[in-house]
Amino acid sequence: MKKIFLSFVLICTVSLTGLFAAGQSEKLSGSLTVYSPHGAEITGPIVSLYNKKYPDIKVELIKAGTGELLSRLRAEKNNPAADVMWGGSTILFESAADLFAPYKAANDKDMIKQDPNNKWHPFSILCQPVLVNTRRLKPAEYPETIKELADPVWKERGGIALADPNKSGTGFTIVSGISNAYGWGFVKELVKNSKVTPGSDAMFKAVLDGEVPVGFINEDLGIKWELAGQPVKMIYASDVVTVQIDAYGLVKGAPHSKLGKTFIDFLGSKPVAEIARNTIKRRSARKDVSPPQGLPALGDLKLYPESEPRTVVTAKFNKILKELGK
Amino acid sequence: MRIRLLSNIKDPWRIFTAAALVILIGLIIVPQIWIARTSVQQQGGAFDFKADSKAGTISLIKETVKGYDVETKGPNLYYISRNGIYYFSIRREKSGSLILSAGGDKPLKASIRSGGTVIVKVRGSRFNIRQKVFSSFFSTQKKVTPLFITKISNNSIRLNYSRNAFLSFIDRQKHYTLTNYLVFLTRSRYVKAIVNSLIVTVVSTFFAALIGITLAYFLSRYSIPGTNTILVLFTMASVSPPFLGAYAWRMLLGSYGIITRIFGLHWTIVGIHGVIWVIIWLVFPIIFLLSYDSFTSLDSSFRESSISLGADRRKTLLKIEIPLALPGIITGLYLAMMAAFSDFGTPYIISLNLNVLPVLIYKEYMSEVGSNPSIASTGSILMIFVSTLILTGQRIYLAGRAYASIKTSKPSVLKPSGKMKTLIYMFTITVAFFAFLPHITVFILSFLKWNVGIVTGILTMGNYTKLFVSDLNAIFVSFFLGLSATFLDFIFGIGIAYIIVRKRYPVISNLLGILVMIPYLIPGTVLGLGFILIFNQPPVLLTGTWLILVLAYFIRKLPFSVKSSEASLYQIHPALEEAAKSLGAPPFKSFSTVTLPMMLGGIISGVSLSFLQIMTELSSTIMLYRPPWKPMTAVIFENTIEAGADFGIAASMTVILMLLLYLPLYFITLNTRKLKERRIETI
Repeated sequence: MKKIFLSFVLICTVSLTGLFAAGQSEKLSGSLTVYSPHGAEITGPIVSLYNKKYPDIKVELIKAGTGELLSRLRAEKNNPAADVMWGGSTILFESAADLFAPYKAANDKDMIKQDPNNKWHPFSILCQPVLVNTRRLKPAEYPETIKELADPVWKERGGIALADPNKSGTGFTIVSGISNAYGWGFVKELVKNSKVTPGSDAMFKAVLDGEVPVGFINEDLGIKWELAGQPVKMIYASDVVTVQIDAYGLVKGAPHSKLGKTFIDFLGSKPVAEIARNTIKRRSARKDVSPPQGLPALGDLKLYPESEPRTVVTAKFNKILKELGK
Repeated sequence: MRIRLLSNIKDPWRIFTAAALVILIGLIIVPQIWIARTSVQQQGGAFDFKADSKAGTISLIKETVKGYDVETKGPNLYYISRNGIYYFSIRREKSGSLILSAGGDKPLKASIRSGGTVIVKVRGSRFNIRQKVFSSFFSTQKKVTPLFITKISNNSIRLNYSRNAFLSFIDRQKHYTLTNYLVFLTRSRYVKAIVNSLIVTVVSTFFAALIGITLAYFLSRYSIPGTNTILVLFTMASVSPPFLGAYAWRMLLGSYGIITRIFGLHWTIVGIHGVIWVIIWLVFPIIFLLSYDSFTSLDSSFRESSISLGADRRKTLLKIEIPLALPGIITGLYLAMMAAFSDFGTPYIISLNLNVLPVLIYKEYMSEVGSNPSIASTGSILMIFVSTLILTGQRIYLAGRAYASIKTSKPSVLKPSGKMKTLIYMFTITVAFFAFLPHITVFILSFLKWNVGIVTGILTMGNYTKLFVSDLNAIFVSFFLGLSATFLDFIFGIGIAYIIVRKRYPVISNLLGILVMIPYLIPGTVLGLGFILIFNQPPVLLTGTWLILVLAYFIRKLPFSVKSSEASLYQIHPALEEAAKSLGAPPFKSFSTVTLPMMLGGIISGVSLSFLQIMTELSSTIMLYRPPWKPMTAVIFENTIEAGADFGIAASMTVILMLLLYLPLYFITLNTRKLKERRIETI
């Protein structure tokens, strides 16, 4: 008991000193809670840059998967703890629009896309090229088009990893983009050859580990794996490349919405875009930031973004799953 | 009246029972009742139309129709009805405008909200109408004509929309219905999940039992030097490194895993067989520990009598020893089954697309593109139902057998032959090897440099130094929270077990038994959601505090200490305590001086298990933690969430966590097990 008490006292002291230290300045100060699925390699440098600009604002990061954070936001709706949700595709922000507050961010005008409702603000643009495992396939077997993937030969070769659009924003983007290009009849043929994984990480890792010969990848991770010498290769199919926007937004009823807005304005700034490009190979959504080295220019790709609302895509996809007994 | 009250106070067990009941209901039923409610609720319904800007038409997207019947009465004319009741019709007037009119002379009211959503109320239903317009990726979005309504008459309106929009009609009002259960029990996807879950649970528990019971028997029957160390070892094995544990197996035995490649094999651990294999090594220690405690607390005179009456060893084992040790074995089996049944991490990581209940439920709750809480809650309730069935079976089975011993003679052991000794050691080492493979892998990984989620061959201490710079605080937080929660588990575990086994209050004892198990079956994240729903606003505002974590850990891991205390109680005959009482000792004293000391072995196992489980609890942490109360598991998790994350930090934090757990565990186990000095048999 003594131990418990001692450590309790210790922790209280530590946290209280932290609070007092943060509360002394007269400028914008206080603490700000950010929910984010991004890894430390990106949140670290960006938050410390923010703190150079706002030394008196303490950023408290709470990290988990996008789905978990969204559920947490929803459960906390009546008394939100978070100020900013940093990360998640635009589909997330639109399907949970009731959780976010509109805000006209200073940098929205510099972005490739804007949310007409001002709830999400674009952070980066992600393409989903095909990823092959080079141990499982000979170069001659690499698919060059998405169309080829409907060939039953892919089932024999071990299947295609495809993230379930009911559960993953990336999976949603892929399925919606492909149906945009070739229609739902084609998607059904594709699903026949696919192993539908319950999340996008499971899809990425399945190809990396060679559990399946082919799947899809977010290009920022794909290029990093290629550069690290992993047995994978990204292929931008000549017929279809799907694309999504990774965004951030202000939480509705945010306890420190004033500070949250400064963070949102900051995230849209050019230096942040450059950090994201250089450290995690993200294409910035800003028009004035060039793409990361090693990634093709968007203009050279046959881009197919989502073209149907979430309810339509998932309803049609689930019908296919049901018909195929998957 | 006063006398009754007084007599209630005189029996502290009643007060304790009442307190336990209130606490458990407040922490389990109240926060989680939403699951039961959601499982019998369904949204009113929905349907979507697509407008074609060129043809100027609208067409129904059939797949999206839910809850209502949408009948196509002609081109651009649709009738909406439900259960034979006609609600309204949708008619295209011209491109970009629709007429909505209610049938009969029912009123149709419409209003528009600031976000551009139109609300239509008709016959008690309330539809939200939204439009969405897509543009190609590069074109800047043109100004979209917002939805606009004009009233035509009391029962009809004109709705103007953008000519190329998707129009979605959603009725969000919740209806009470049992359809969710019907769907869950008939649709092949869900039925498959139930079947797969049962296969995984039964098969893995069966093999885990073979390993665990065999090992427990030999170690308890023969005097083997180093038994205490082996015990500590397997207590340790009961905790796998969070997250990385399962992935370690895939790194070793996947299609291109390390072992697979060394031996040039053509297989992969990915699949249902792999899930079963990994779960076996995850749950066998629970069976082992509880059976071991049972075997060692057997009254050796039974065995001696059996043998002196002419039974051979085998017969004695099957007819006397195993039946006598059954309380512990059954409890171990039960806990192992529940662990296998509710394990989310293993199937998620070891299979690509294996459909099992925990994964299904988790993903339906936590989907990032729109969850389906109704189906997820239905699945949770079914899981609770199945486990209650198993629990009731276990309870009836144990209660029907009075296998407890009256005296407390010291347990006895046999001296093994040299060959026997070698065999036992070989078996133990093999089991330990498999049990610790993930731990060893993680240990090695923590000293390797990681790059974008991939391990390299470069040795480094960098993972540890990074950790010490940034996250040392987490260690204190973890221990503070862990010790507090374990303390609560210790007190309530013994008390509740005593009420269940000894007091057997009608209804209440059973209720407590079931209540205790519920948090074990709900995914931790979902349990966390329930806590937020209840404790995020006054009168009880707890979110963001350390207390909410302690309470979550406490109730989530309570089953371990309750179950193991129960097992040891079943083996102690009530007559011993009766004797103390008849000599005039008050109820609490007779319990604390007679029964409690005899339970100690089992309690220590249970409390150690609780502590280990609490310290490695991840899922509820993610939902409930808020800095500065950020435990070690949260640090581990945030370094594994992305496929490209720095697993090195996660691995090194895991190693530190394991070490910090194992050292105290080692001393506790050694000191308490010493109580059981054993004499060597001569037969």
